[in-house]
Amino acid sequence: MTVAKSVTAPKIKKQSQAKEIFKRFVKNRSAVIGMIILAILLFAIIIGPYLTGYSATKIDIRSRLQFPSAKHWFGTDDNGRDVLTRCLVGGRWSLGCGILATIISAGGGIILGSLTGYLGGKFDMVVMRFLDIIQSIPGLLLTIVISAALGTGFDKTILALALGGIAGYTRMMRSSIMRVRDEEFLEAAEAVGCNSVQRIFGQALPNSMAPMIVSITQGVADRILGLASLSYIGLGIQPPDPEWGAMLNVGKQYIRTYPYLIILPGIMIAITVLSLNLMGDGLRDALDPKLKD
Amino acid sequence: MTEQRFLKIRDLTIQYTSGGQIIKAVNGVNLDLDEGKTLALVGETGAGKTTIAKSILQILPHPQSKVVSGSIELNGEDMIKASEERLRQIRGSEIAMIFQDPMTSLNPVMTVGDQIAEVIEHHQDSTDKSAIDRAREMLELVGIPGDRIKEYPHQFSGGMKQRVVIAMALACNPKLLLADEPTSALDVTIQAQVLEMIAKLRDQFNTSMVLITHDLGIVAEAADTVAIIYAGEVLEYGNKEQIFHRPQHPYTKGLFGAIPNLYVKARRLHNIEGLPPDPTNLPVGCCFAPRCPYAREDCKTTKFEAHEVEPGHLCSCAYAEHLED
Amino acid sequence: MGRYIRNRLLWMIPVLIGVAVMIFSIMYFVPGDPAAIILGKEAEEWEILALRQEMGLEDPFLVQLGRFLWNALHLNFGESYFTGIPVIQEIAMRMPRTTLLGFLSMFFTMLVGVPLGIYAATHRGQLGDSAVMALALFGVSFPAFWMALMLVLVFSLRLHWLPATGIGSWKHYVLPVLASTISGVGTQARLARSSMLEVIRSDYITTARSKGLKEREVIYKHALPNALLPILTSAGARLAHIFGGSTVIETVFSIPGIGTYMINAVNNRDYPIVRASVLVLAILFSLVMLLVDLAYAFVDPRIKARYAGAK
Repeated sequence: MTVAKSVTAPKIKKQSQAKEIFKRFVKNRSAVIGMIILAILLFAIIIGPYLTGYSATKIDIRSRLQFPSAKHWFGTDDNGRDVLTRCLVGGRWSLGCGILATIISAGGGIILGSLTGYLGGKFDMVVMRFLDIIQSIPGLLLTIVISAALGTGFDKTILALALGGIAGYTRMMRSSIMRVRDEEFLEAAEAVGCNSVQRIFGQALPNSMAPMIVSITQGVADRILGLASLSYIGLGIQPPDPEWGAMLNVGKQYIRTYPYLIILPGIMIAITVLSLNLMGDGLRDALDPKLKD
Repeated sequence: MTEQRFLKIRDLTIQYTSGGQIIKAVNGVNLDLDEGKTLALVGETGAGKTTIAKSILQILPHPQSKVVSGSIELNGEDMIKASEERLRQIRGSEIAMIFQDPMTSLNPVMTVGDQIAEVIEHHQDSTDKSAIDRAREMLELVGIPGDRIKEYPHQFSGGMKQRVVIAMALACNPKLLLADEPTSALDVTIQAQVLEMIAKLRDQFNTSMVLITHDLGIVAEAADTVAIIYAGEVLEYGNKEQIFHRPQHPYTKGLFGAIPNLYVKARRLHNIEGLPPDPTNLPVGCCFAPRCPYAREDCKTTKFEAHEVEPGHLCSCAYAEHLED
Repeated sequence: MGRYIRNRLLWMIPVLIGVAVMIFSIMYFVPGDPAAIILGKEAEEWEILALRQEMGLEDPFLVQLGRFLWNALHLNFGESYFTGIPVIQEIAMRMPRTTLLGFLSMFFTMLVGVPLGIYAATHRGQLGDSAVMALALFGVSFPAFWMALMLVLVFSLRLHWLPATGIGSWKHYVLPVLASTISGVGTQARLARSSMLEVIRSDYITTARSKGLKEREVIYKHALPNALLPILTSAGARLAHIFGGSTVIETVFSIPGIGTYMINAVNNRDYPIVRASVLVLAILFSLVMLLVDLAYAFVDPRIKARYAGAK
């Protein structure tokens, strides 16, 4: 998949680490392709809706359910809205939700994981048992239930998508803090009196950044898929808001007669998730060449 | 030196490809080893010692590494040209290897007995039963009670694991043993025991050995001949006396520090100013020139062939005899 | 070992109680009054209050929670607010379909994904590897339910080979299982590949090679058993994914399983059903994870030893 191959034996001369990572990332073909696709996609969903000349929400019954044509590249939906415009605006919803939910998840996980890892003891135990409970409910199921409890809409859906993911990030952060802390304890026996909080976090945070960044990239992809599922079953984002899953939910009624209504939003999801996955793979290879394919 | 030797390595050149770059790991190495003797490869980490050892067994990581040229003859048979089938016969039975880290060199989900018996079964056409018996014998030989044969690696300490690895390596009476820093991952207290045992068994089985190390104490105790490896080249080669008492190459001298004395405990290699050269971009001239305090102008532009400074003592430094000038 | 199984089973109890408490609490705070929903828009306030009292909704939170737990312990999850059918009865009827669907999907996902990943790992950098990995990457990029819709479009609506909805003969299972499998194979293959590569790089594989074993022996006797350990764990995670995803897949195919039962209940605010469905799926998942752990201990002597020695 990638051009570069890793070799363990000889040491290559030391370079600034960030520069080295960046170099490896740029050299990674799949990562660059992913980044280009994502950049085009971002450009399209931000600028695109202004260029299509249609509104994503304005109903125009006279032109309903038209197959893709020169006038409407992706056709129109049951309310006569331009599907291309809706797909592009839908990207704002999907990517926006995915990114925000992941940031909340990761942020919550980093804070909680740092606390449990650093404090240890009873607090750690209680939180970990709680995570055990949360993680014994299949992920999407938990998201569905939380979403049902919170209700639909942009902010509530983001929260529903975010809450379930905190557990994973917490564990990740906790284990890297613990690793550093254990080493720290060994050293502390010899050199007492150093500011250990600063040193633990100073060491653990950069160490855990690599897997964190990779996991966040993939987290956005996973949450976009989760959001689509949620909207498809009638939770999450509600029509007429043009989220991709919600568009599929409406489109499924027309699967026999107007299949483009479900094909096109699905392809948008796939392209987005694919580009994020490509980037995630590239980042993983760049950050840790040992893990490379 | 065209006569047949037990192990004869000529002009060995090995390269890795990584990230589109070519890493010159081993560059035109010549080495000789006689039967029953021990050759020590000494050098800093990344000098290419392990690559040389792995190339003797032809177990270098497959797509990345490539033997560009050279020959590795064991009793006249070139390992590089040998068929995969022949190599499988040789590996484990004629040449065996002990790896650096005993913690990771045993399969965690197989009993140690099975791991030792496997190599015996594979090479000696023996039945399960006799192979297990032999495995038990080998364990006892390295000082582990035979009834621990059904235990898994995690049940052994690091030193014990290395003993298991040694038992496994010696199970088929190999003619040549490659020991890649066999003790560097072990506790200092256990290092001596393990080394002693390796030496004892080597003598008992009359096994020849290539010993990789950066511990001069070990070299002093165990080696007959010594090759100083730097940036994939042999800078100096000779018997132990010659290298310890009359080091010629500036690098060797640097390694030994100011007091190259066989009987003084100089266990650690002396630190030399600077870093080894980038193996993707080796200097044009002598590979040590950038760090060499005696380097002259032509050292940086001309590569000198190793020459004999005394019988059997080779040195790649052209000015070795005139360093003090 | 027997002791470990017992401890592991005992540990499930607090976890499941925790799940029950959590599910109850989440649903407790859902906006909207079930009594008002049941009675419809025209209901008077006193009618609603009377029904709330009858349903026990006026009791304090802890009392309601205690009652829920006690009843759940006796497998009594109450009745549907709307149909009046006991929830456990419906679940018993729907359970086999969801389980069958889940296990079939997992089975085929592993059956295809693991060998593909191992093939890719052992042919690293070659054309086959690139092809497998490219396919896997595409596989993980499509939502499973969308894949299901596409399958319906092609195999039911265009080709008329297989039924699009409902449950009956084995034919009804083909498309749902296929949809779950296609979207799972990619993840599984990627996992299997990286786990196998990790193992192939390890020192003991070099040791095995240095013994003169055939490459086939090195791969299957030494590398594979070690690579299978993380793969086994991932199988458990996959099942969770499938159970979670089954709600959506069942919706696509209108399969009367737990998933559709729950989704309909979510939309109708039929809380007893939602609570029971989640709890049942969590129990099922916990049992599978238990099996995975036991299998793990069985395969990995390090873990086995740890448990044999543990309390």
